[in-house]
Amino acid sequence: MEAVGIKSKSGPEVDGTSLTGRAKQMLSGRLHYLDLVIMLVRRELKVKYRGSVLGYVWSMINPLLFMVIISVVFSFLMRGIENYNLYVLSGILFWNMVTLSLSVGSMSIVRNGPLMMKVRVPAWIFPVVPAGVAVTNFVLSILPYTIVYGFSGRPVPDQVWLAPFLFVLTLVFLAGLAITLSVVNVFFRDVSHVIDPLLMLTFYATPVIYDRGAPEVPEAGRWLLGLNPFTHFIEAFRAAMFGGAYHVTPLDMARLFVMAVASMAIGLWIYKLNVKKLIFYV
Amino acid sequence: MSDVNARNVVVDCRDVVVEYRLSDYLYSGFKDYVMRKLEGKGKTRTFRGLDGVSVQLARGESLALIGHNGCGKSTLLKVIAGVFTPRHGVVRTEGRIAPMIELGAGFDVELSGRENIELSCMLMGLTREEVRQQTPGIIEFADLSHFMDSPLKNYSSGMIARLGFACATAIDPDILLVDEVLAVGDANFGKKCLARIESLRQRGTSVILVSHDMAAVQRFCNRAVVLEEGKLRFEGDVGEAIRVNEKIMYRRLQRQTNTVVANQPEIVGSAVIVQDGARCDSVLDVSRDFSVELDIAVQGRDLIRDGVTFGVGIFSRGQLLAGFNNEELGVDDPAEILRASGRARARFDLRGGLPGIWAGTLQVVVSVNDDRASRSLAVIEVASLQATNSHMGANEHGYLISLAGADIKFGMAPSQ
Repeated sequence: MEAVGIKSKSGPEVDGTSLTGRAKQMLSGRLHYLDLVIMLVRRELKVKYRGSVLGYVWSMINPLLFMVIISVVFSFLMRGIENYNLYVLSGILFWNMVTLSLSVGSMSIVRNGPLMMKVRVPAWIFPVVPAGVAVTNFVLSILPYTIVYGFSGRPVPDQVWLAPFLFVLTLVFLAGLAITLSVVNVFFRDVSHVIDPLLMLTFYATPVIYDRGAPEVPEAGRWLLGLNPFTHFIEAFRAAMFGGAYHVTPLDMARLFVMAVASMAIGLWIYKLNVKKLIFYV
Repeated sequence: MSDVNARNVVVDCRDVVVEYRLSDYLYSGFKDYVMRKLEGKGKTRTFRGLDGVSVQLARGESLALIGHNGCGKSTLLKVIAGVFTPRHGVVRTEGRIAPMIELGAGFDVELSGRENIELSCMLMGLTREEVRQQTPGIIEFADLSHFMDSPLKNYSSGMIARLGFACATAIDPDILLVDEVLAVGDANFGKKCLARIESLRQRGTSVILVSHDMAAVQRFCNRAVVLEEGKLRFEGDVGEAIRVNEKIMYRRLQRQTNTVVANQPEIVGSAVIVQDGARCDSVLDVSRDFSVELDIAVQGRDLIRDGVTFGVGIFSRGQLLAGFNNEELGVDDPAEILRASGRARARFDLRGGLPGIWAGTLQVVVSVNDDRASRSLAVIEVASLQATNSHMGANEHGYLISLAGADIKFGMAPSQ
């Protein structure tokens, strides 16, 4: 007997035999999952801020506090960067999004194992949710960023219109990475132990609080930083949110696009290879 | 596929095999990882939770899955729910499934009742619009309108179960999967749940019920499947299935105890039930005095260890209703007598019968253990009989698993 998976229809009213019927059915299934992801993201945000007086405002204040700390601590090191506080803030907002989605995302399938035992939910939803939460957080913190930006008197960056595209590409990139990590973590729980130190290492290996082009960074270092995909994402965000010397070329955008698609493709491929086994290991 | 549609089949499982690994995790450390890689693949020990099971369910039908603990009932339910993907075989389902594998699956204790309704229903496949339509009905059915905006952590477990049941049935399922969850909440709510399932069934919902409660199975289901160790043993009439299951349970009990262990004495013995001075083989009035008499002989009496117990177990349809032994009754150890003479006679007198047990079919079994009941020496089937109860009306029947109020005396008679 061949190993065959579960075949099921979402509802009896949809005609599953005709081509259009099947397309409609597939589409409604996918749309439902999108709905589910949005609902779970809302749930996470609600639970996160429940019981705190300031609620959502915290996701805006938090990066500002970090900005103050880091710009005080590092400002004497980074004399070369104008509006260093804004520079750091844009970096922190980006990096928060990375850590939030990957540290929670990598453990998400294992954490939702008990739920997967009771309801039929595709496991890929669980790592995608933290990525969605992280991106929402980023979008929320655009407001305080704009306020600080307004006070600085800096001109509006030329490429600010790129921001929405960058959000989408980053979301896809992070979600793909989170899917990969969370599936691997099911089989090797080591991932959940190594993820936080790894993120810290990557934090320093990404130009979050420094500039890749600064004279203190040696040529070899610049080249090495270029191997880190996050470097390209953060520099694109800098072009959209900070401007100055940063500029995104169409080639840069193409590179981000390829990285995002590759990350998602790898994630889904690894997911597909293991999806039937997951439930027995969570 | 075409014949499936023609017969209105909503669940179709064919030759389903599910394998579990016997260890919880893939690797239990670096050493284990290296060892497994060196030994090569195929070393993970697996266990077949389901072994080639084929089951079909028609629209509007209610099917019971019964069997011993670990026979694969819940696994089969999870396969149908789509939680497990079978290793081999095909599972087809038609329509929306409400999996009541646990009530309130996916609930978040930090969220309010209303938010949890959305969460749970959407996890089960409802769209946001459908959830909006169903919410008032769910709140009404769960009878929790005053608590809808407080977080679930302030709810009692009964309230959570009510909300969970209301959500699971509100999605208007085509297939309802119920895994031993009806025993929650108070009696009133239990009745309400059963009424809801009944009305769903009349609207054409198919039900699969996993239960150890044979009375519920008989009341609810029109067909039953008996599983044993992952294999399908019987499929068909409910009454017949219950009898098949009883036999399996009894056989398993015997197999457990009859495993020959070195240095184990062999017990040959008999036991009878006596009422009004006569042996009972077919009918017993459990509301009056009766006694269970044992005549036990031992071969290899030197092997008897201290702490011998004689126990009586009363089963109905494979379920243990009541059990007692001489140790519980605070009576001396019969080991001495068995070692001295190789034989012992004993009797349990039940004055006033067993008030907690009403009418129905009963099996009575005697077990002999030693070493403070850690070693079972034998299980002897005493009788399988119809119990009557003069305190009850002719049409009433049922069981209460309680020995409270029973007056049991144990006595030994040294044999010649």
